[in-house]
Amino acid sequence: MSDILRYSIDELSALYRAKKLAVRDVVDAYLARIDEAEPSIKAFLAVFPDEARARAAELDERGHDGSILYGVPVAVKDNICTRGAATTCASKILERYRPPYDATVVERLRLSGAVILGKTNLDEFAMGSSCENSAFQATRNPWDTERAPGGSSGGSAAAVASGMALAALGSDTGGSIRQPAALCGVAGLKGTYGRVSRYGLVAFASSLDQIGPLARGVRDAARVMEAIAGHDPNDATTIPEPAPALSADLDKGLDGLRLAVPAGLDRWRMDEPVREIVLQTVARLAEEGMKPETVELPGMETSIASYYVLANAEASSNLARYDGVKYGYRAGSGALAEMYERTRGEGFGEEVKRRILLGTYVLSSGYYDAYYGKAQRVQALIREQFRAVFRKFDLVMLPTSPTPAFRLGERLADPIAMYLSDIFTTPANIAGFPAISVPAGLSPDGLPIGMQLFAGWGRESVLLRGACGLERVFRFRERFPGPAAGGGRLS
Amino acid sequence: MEFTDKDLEHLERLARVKLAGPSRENLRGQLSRIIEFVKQLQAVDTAGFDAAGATVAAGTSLREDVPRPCLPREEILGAAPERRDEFFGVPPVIDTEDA
Repeated sequence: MSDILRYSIDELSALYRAKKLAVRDVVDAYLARIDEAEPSIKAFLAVFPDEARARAAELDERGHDGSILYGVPVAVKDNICTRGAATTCASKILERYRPPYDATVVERLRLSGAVILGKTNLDEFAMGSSCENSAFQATRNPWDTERAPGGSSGGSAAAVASGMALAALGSDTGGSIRQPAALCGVAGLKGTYGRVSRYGLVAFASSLDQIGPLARGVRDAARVMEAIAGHDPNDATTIPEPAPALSADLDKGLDGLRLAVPAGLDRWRMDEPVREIVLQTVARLAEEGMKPETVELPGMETSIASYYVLANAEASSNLARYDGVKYGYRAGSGALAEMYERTRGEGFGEEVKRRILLGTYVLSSGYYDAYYGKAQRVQALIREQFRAVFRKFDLVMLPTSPTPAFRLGERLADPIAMYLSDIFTTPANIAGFPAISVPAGLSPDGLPIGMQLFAGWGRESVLLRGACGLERVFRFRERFPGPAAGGGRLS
Repeated sequence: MEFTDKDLEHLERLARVKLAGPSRENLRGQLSRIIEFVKQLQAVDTAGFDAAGATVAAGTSLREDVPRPCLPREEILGAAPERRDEFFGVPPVIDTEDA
């Protein structure tokens, strides 16, 4: 196992500046790791070895110009458009689609000096929590290849966890960055709604979707976020200000931050090791003079119910564009209506159809107000309740997922059990505030458990400062060096 | 809420999605259970909360309406499953025998 794979973004940058390392060597090391680990993990839908090597040569030629991600090998979730290179959303309907443009985040990765290694697997159209809804392959959790990596950004999480990419982009509509990050033992950040441009992200639920980084640690995640965040004229919902400096306060620690944990943790269903780690963390923080207070959090279950109404309503509308006319898969002949129905019937997988039909139902005449209108009012209520929480506290700490990684196939038959995987993550999407998952420890079975932090709108720098503080308490990477998938260890 | 076969047919038509035989029955049961689950929303007291404007908290920013170059036509048409000259090709919309 190459030493090169251990360097963080800042370490790589220092070595590049001192001319002790060439981008070519780093890219070669990552491509070699992909060759070694990918057959057992299946994190990628496409790998770009030639493009990555050409890009490395170009960067070596140019030398370090101070760009924030100079020579950093990254992976990109396959629902983010890459010009001329397949962007499938893990769907048969887009199997042969080649976007004619780059997403804003991809453009920004390139401008920041990053090297894109490939595109990662996901649940079809980002709909799922296990990566099993991919039309092409099921990604394996690098900590236990019989288990799911979580989802929907499971390919990105597994690629980072197994050392096949230094960082990756994911997208988070109800927890799709944070939940797989937690299940794979990496950090995953979703910014405030509007912090990162969605231009070129294939739309699932436009009012909830956010792109964000997955990385081995909080500092690396902050670096990637700095590179991709900020206003974009091509996305009118982006916050009209430049990307905030996120790294400045990282080392200030938790001291002086008002931290809360949810009251009545025992009311919620979660695995014992997950509950245990929350209690241990609270005790640890108290020993260090930080006394987390308890706070009554707005109804988590109503949050997930409103999420499944709003997200599916938007999905049914957004996915209407796949009609077999402009691009993508087309089935059948006959009349136009029949072509639509067969194209969509054959092109979409089961979960996607389930959600389109559900979204169609809650928007249909006679049910619109009872479901969609009501879910929007619940959303407004939840947002207001969180506003009150963030007036009193800087951060709220809670688990990311109620369970560690589950076995492949275990939850496929029961969509509601799968939906409940997202119970702790959806409030951040419903209310739009930023949240991060930090690897906290291992279950007795040796599976990673993630701890989540919530912060108020626009307060990513406080969120990352708190996350960095927690990271120092957990010392996860020092204690648990990493997965042995593919016959190699990261340590 | 129990979805009948007729309900499902109506939704399939609205959404323009044709479900295949075996998965159809399965989906009908699952949809019924999911609707049952989201029904808990009805019990939440939302008096005083407005649905309008709930989705985008930060508001949207507008820019000047200045024409910009668009994507090249050839490239866009090249991605279509069927093209006829400078148009997307589609099957007949009107049944010609009736016309």
